[in-house]
Amino acid sequence: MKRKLYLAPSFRHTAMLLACGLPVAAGATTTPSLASPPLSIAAEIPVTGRVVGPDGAGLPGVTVLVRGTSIGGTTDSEGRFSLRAPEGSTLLFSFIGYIGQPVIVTSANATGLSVTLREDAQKLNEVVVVGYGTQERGSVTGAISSVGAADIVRQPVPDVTQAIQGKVSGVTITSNGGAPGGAAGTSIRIRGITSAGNNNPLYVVDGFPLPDGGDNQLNAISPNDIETIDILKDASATAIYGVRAANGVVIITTKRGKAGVATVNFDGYRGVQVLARKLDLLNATEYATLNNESLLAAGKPIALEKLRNPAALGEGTDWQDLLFRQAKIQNYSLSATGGSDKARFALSAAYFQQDGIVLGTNFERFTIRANGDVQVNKYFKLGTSIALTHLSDRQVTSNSGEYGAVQQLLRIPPTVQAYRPDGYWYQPNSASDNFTEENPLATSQRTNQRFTRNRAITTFFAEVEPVKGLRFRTNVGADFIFDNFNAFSPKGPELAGFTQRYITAGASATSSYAPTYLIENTATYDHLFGDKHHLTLLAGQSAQEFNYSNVEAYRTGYLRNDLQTINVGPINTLLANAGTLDPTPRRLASYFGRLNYEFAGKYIFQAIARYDGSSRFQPGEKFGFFPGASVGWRISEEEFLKGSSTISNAKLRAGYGRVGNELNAGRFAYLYSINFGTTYPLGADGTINTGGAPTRLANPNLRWEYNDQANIGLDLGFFNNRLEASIDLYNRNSPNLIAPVPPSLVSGTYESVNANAASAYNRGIDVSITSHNFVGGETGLTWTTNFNVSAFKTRLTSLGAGIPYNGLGSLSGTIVRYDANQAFGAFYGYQADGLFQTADEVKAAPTQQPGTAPGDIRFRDLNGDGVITDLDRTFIGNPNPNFSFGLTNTLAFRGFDLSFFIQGVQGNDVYNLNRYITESALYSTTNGTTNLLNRWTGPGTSNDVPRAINGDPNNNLRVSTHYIEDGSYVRLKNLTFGYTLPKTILSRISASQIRVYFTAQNLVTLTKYTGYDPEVSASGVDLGIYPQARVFLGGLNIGF
Amino acid sequence: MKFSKFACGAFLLTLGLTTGCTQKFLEEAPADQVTDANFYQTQQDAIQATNAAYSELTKEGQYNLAMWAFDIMADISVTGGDDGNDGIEYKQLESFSIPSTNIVANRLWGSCFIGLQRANLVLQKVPGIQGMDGAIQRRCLGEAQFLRAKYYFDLVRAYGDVPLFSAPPAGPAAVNIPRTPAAEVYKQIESDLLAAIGNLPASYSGADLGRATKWAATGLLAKVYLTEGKKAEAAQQALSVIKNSGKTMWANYGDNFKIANENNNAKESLFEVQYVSGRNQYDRNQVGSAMNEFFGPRGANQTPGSGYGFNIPEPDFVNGYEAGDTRRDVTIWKPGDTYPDGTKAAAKATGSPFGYNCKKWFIGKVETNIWDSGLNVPVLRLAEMYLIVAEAVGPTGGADGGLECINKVRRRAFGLDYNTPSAAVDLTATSDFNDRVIRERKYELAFEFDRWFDLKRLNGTPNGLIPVMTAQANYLRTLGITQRGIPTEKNLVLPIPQSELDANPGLKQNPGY
Repeated sequence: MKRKLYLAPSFRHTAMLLACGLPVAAGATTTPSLASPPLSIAAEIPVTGRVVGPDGAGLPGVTVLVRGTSIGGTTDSEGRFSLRAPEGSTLLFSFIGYIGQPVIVTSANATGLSVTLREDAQKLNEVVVVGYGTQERGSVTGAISSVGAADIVRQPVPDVTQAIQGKVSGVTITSNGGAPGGAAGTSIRIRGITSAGNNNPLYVVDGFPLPDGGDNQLNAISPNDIETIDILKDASATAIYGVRAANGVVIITTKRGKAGVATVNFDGYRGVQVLARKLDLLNATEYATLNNESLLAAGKPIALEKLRNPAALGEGTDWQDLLFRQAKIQNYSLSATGGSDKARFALSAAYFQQDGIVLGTNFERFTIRANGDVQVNKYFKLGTSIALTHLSDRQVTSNSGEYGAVQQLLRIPPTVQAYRPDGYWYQPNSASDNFTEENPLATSQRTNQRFTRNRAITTFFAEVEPVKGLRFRTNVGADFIFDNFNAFSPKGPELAGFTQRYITAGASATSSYAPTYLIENTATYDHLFGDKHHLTLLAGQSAQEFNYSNVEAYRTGYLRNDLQTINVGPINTLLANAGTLDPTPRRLASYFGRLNYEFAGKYIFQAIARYDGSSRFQPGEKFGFFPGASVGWRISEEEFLKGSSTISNAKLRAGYGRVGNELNAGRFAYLYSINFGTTYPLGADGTINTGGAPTRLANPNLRWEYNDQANIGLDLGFFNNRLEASIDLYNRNSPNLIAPVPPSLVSGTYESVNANAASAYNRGIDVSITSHNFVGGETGLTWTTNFNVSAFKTRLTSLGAGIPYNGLGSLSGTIVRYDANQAFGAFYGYQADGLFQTADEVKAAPTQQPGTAPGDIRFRDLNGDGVITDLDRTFIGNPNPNFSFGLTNTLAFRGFDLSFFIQGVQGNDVYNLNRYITESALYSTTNGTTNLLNRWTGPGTSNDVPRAINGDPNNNLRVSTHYIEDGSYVRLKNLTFGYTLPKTILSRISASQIRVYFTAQNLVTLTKYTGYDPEVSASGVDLGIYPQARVFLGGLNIGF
Repeated sequence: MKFSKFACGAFLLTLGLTTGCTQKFLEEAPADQVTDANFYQTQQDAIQATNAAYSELTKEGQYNLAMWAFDIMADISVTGGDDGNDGIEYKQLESFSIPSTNIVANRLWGSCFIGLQRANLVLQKVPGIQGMDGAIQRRCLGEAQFLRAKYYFDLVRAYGDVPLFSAPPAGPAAVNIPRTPAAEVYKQIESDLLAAIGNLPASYSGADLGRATKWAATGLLAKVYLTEGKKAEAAQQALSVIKNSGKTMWANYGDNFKIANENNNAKESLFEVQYVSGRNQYDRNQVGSAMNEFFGPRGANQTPGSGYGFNIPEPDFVNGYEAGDTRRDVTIWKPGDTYPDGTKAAAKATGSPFGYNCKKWFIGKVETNIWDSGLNVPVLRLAEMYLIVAEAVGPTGGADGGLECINKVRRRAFGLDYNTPSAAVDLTATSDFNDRVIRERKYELAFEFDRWFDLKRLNGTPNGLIPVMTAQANYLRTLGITQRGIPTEKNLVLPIPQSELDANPGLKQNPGY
């Protein structure tokens, strides 16, 4: 373990608080003081001054108004103004996109009044994408968080989902591994876990709902192309997506052209990635000592002559140094936007390339995007979004899994040499090494394999506005995913005296095609009646079809290594497999509507309904109804608060809705499927006769899962929104989750039936706070702090007719189990209770194993029957954190900018299966960590690290609390320092902006976790995670 | 404005069209799997549906795990295997301390119902199949009737009252029915077998060898009647097989258990479970038999996986063979016996303190896959028909009499021409004739999974389960073998599996469990 990376939790918390900054004191210096309104009308005096923005430049066109009157004017091109106002009256300065500011006129400040307006951070008039339309932030009544382009491009990540980790409350994002290109996927869990099955949110890109594609759905999209990401969290907002919205909705909007001068932007960075933490593995001497001790303890002879004298072995092979490397990462993006009132465009091309820190892994992606909008005439417009992606990567077999390269490297002894004299990978064997598993260098590099994906996501829309406020829109689109995976495992060269493991060469080729088609028609009516009644109506229809097909071929026995394609191998060994060809499309047909009513900008009501039909269910039962309703009260618009700058914004929101998930229902569960594996041999030669019978009951009652969610939220802004906060509380009940229910065998079937048997709840709180500590002006310093924290509790409350069922298993047995009154994904196993110190203790304790002896783990006899059996297993850990948080600080000062982003989780358990590997060194011939040097060697020597004994007679490796660790961590995820060249220099080269920057990603991680990386995928089981790299890079951004 | 009106109309039209199409748009039929919607429609479907009803026979719920228990629960064998929890499902039975989670009880129950419901599907669907060969159609129905009877016969003997399904459950709601009295179940078995006798052919050839024949159904009916105590009917059916089936006994007892002699129409077996090798390994739910490996002498390296040594013959059983009885060396290994590779059987092994092993299903290393013997298991043999007659009619004379019937079996056992009387081995009309018949069954049918059922049906007599197994437990204790338990009334049936009670509120557990 690297002690230097470990710090006490108290220190971690302090560090976090310090980093938050203190907004209040800073606020007082730049906000003009406020006083009560004047009691009487005083004499008018001339007032002159200048209004500037945060950068100190004059703001033209700012409205200046004496409160309660119509006296006023606007600022000139320099930001100057002059007018007459009663002494003691309040001047209101307002400008679109900026926070209005009241200033009381006194004789002292009337001349040369300096007012600094700040950009409206809360962006009440910012547009939020809500699905089939947009709303102003101020009118939103559901729980919706947004992330802008600036936050996304700052992070050097291949998958945009990684860039929003820690940026929004209520969204738990966990990387499934650090493989290049985000290939291992990123789990997004919006407000916790809803189901034991699919928990992925629905992704909607430019109005196109993507097919569910697992955890790396978005790595085909260049982060540079993204304008905003809006995350719909509660059911009153997501109900517009009905049966697909149970896990929340992530709406991605790409950049579109704006009328005006065309801008061209280049962004490029290049950097290096390194392994952030190296484990302390045993060296050859230590390994041999331990291995000999282990064998002798079991009464076995020392296996290898070369291990007899450990001291002579020295350090041995450092497999970590051999397998991990410094790896490059680079990204270049060129884009142009612009256009006229008639036609606008946004074009971009980007290239991203990343080598992995594990040898043999790499990723590259090329993307092209063309977004165009044409205003044909006053009534009619149309537009397209076309994005083409080519991505290609090479991953190690089971990147982050058991028998992946990372686990193999932990296993292989340091006494094994890495290479043969001819430079080929040395193959350990039992005679020389007493170890026969694969050399991890070969695991990672031998097979020549490449995955390529070509994807086109295209949409086209046409919109007619026959009368103002009434719009008809047709949206069609298609998403084509073409995947190919080709692999060739070459035959190894023979060398006298060396074991040849790779004696056959083989190739495999897999090709899949997944097209999705969409057509949608909507009608929107938006009208303001009588100045106060704002009504928006939406009605629409959607039909979408999803297809998938896959073919696979493999072939072995290649006699040569140079021709590696599937069609050149030995003629008689072509083995084709139909793969998972699924010729049946999945279809959705839907109708939906939304009504928004806003009275006087204060009272907001919204109702949503979606009627979704899915081809997954039996005729007559295909449709479901998903309603949602919410209300909002903008308290700050009431007279008693209006104009107050102490409480500059206050909005109370409440909503309730129902949303569904059909993805866990499986295919055609309402039919009896005939199983032709029910064979029987007949005839003299025992010919296998095909039999046909159903082996699973049909379930005509199967329905989509749904959940009902209540949300209450409060948005607050203080001191002219210098300090903003948003708090949401939610309660989500899922009464009919799909769980496998074993049938009564008298039915004549034995396969579990998917049934809506289980129920669960999620309750949580999302808080986000933004503080504008400094807002520029005279000091020229801006400093903004954003902090968000989310906590949720999830429980599976009932399994109904189902029985507890196992989830993730491993070499050491089942780890995850689903049962009533447990969290989703809870760990299940034995409770370890220290080590036996003496033989008397073993004797007095419940019977464990025949070979149990001092130095072995003591397990608790939970049922008190005096024997440790399977029945003594219980729930031993919860992979869900108590809370997760993110903290972003952004500072700018005279052309310099600095941001640091800290993110972390607290209170989650990780099942460190790596320690199953490393502690196996006590019981077998694999390697381990130096922690094993503290193993039990006699009474009192250790209560934690068991004795070394070959064969593990006590089965210390069984799934138990011994391998559970605290997965809490705080990570300095991103540190960026930039410098923007002054305008004076830029004008000489006709550039509008030049910025250079340096970024460090994953610079510091504070954790007690002893593995490579505490972020081990959403399951919380570290199967040998591909660690996330520490990245250092430099970048350049040029705009013209 | 004109333009926008047009667009507006187009939009509404589109909306209307898509609405109209919705129903069809969402109608999907699986293109990659056969379902009940398009199965049970052709002759091939009928045959496949029937094959599926046989399929359970080779699996764990029948002859690849569950059936093994019926000698271990009797006075023939003990579990064997390794120490500790190895073979715990048999050790629980052997000790008559049987939890409701016992795997044997669970597998047998499940397998019987799976098999019989598949037979129910045949009986429900096949009569409606148009355009198929009438003879095949009748055969399919007969096979399903035979198999349903066979599975229900196992169930009713092992558990007592069981839910009786004369048709497959219409849906999940129809599954949870209560247990039906055993007498009604027997009635169904009888009527199924009588119907099967009418529907089934007397023999098969070629690719159909191994399917149930009229004589399989007749033989099973004889055994059912005997179990029910209907001796006259039992004798009648057994004699019908003996006289009309054309079956003859092998001259050598051991020829019954040879792969080369499988499915021989003219010879002794009436119905065999069909095993075939070379298809699977380490799988007891496929088409290979695991008995060669599981019963093979433990660690003796005489079978592909070196042998696990389960189902170990008890010393009194081995010693009970009369001198000259050829069945001993067909049925068991004993110390000093020569294995196929020339080595000698050891005096003892883990789990086998006296060095005995079951040999009946031994084929050695003929096959290389593990748990993969192709040796069929005869479910009914002509020899048993003779024994049924003997038990049913007692020590009567004449060609069809009990004496001649049992003596035929005995003469063959001693390597004699079974049609030629032998003063040395022939029994005479003694007062203990019935006990002698029961004893003959024990030796003739040992390791053919019949003995526990015999002890159960004879309960209430000195040959019943409780007296026999109480004596056996006491005897074994004198040899230091303590795991054999003493049965009580409750052990006359197995417990209903706990998972079934959990899944099916309509079921009630057998008393005492």
